[in-house]
Amino acid sequence: MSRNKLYTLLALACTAGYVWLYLNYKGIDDINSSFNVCLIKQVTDIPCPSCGSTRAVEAFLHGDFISTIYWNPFGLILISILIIIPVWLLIDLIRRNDSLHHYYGKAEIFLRKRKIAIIAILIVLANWVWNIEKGL
Amino acid sequence: MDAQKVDMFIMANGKFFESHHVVQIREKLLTLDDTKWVMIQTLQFKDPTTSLIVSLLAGTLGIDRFMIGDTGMGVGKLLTCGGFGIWAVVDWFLIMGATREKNLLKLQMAL
Repeated sequence: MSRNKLYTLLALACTAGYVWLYLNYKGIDDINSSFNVCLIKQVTDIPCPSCGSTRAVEAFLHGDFISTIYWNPFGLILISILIIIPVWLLIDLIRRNDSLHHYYGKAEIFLRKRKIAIIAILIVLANWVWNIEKGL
Repeated sequence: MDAQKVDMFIMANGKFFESHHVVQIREKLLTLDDTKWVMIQTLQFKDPTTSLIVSLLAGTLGIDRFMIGDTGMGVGKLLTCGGFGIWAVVDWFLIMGATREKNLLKLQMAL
């Protein structure tokens, strides 16, 4: 993927993430409690591996770290992405650098290694089972 | 390379590439020498139809993106419930093109 395409996508994704958080903060849940964006949950009524991430991030914003882990540990990854990526993106754009693009490529290669991939898949599956157990 | 061999390759593998790329691929292959023929024959390309099926069934988990080698975007889809469900639906329409682009990259890497 080219640098500019990646940066546009990341900027869009981060904006969408913050808008989503703001909407939830404003209480979109209260207006319509059945409001749900997860396709898997809509269709099968089973939560997906990342269901509960919004609640996790909200709990983090309220300083409730135990709830963050309880709702979804992946929330922590999302929080770090939402904090780090926009800053890194801005620094890269100001310096006309492509360090983020470079490390994105390296991260992709790292995740594609067999051992790492298997461990990552097992973690995702374990989290999925836990999500179903919790009945999110 | 022999025009007959090139046309044979295009006939067998044309569906793995975007139609507007096929002409370029043909011209490029014609300029190559015959030693590359065996290597090109052994290349395995991803079928766009397969990735469409995977995208329809497990697109929300990002498995379609993982499959074609877009690991970063796959992780992105996985962590956000398929981009709040929107990206998953958008990818139903984009994934075939993305697979063909990846196939072109693979061919270019091999040449």
